[in-house]
Amino acid sequence: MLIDPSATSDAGAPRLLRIARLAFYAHFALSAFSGIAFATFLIPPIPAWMSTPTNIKIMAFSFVWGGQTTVVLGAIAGLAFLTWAIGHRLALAAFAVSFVVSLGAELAGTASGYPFGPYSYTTQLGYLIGGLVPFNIPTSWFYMLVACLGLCGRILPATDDSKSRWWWAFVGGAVLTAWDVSMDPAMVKTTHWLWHNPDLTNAPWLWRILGTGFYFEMPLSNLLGWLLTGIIVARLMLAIVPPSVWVARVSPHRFPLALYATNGILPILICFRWNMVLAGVLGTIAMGIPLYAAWRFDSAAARRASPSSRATGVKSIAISGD
Amino acid sequence: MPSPGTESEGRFGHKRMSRLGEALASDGMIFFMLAVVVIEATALILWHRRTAQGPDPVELVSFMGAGASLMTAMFFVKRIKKSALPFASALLSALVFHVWHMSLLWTR
Repeated sequence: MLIDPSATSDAGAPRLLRIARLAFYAHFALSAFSGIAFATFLIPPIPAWMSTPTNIKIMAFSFVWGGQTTVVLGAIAGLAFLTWAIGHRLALAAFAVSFVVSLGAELAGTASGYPFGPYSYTTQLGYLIGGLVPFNIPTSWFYMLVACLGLCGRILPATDDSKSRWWWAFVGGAVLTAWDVSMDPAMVKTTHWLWHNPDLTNAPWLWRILGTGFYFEMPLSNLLGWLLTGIIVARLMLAIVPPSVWVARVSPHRFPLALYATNGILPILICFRWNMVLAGVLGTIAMGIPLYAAWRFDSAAARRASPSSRATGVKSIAISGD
Repeated sequence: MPSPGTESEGRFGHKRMSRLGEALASDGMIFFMLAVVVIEATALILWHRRTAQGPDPVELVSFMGAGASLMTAMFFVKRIKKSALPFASALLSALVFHVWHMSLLWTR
């Protein structure tokens, strides 16, 4: 463990929870609005009323700022919540490690095609670090892993030995990968990123299996890359914040479930309305299973979690329907 | 006119050198070396856990991390036209590992 998890008291705890809640509501509202927009009037051909100069300006503005603002709000919500739950030192360390490692994986992916496959980002998600990776991508890895590990705490037993941490990392990585089942087809369709799959007709069979865009242009290597990167980043986060701390302080709250579910809204809506029903159905099932399991099987550890010090916050976030 | 033996040896040598050049230039060689590093580090860490013998895992990771980062930099230098950042990051990572390792040696 890198940092002592007992050192987690935060003087500004209620304010942090307020920030987390506000950022989450805004994140939810923007995700829902974008989902509805992409599912209705943004489906080509664009309706005539959208073609007025003012509406074109609004649409252009939304395309430039909408996606990145949504992700930034999600990251603020995730970081503020985690800071409130486990303290600023642990939360910032987890954020820094997940940001650096996931950025490294994404830089490697966009520069070389490993481990995800050959793809590139457009500028719709904001400033490209090194001209390759939107700054929002590593932050979304972070807050989605916060949500995934929060879910893990409700369905997995928490012992802090190495075997348990690896198992948690694997399940956390798998839950994260489930998000990509609907997200990748949706984001490719809306040109947030693009696949550049090569012709593999004469390639060895393994390369053909891994590199052929079999699922709405996405190759199998992408899912494996997500799983691998997710496991590594989750394992590093678990080295900083052990499973017992996730179970006691993060998982009892509904925030991780709400954050995970909210991030499924936009891609699933896009998939259903942009003629990718299969991706919508599979994405719903893939995200629905861990969500249902986390909702249904509140682990004994989560039930045991002390409500004493954080009682007000727990109550308010639960009542608010997050 | 050279004897058949000499000519074939020359051709063989040339072919061999060209294969070596191809191997060194390919990504496969770097992946192979990185895989060896990962397997070696994993095996040594597991061995240390079971027997409490062999190099200390922290020193091992700080030592091998620098080498692995340099190999990763070799991989990215071929793609520097696309972006210099991955190459620079790999070099920076090697420096960080190296400084970490040196600080461990210093405080030993």
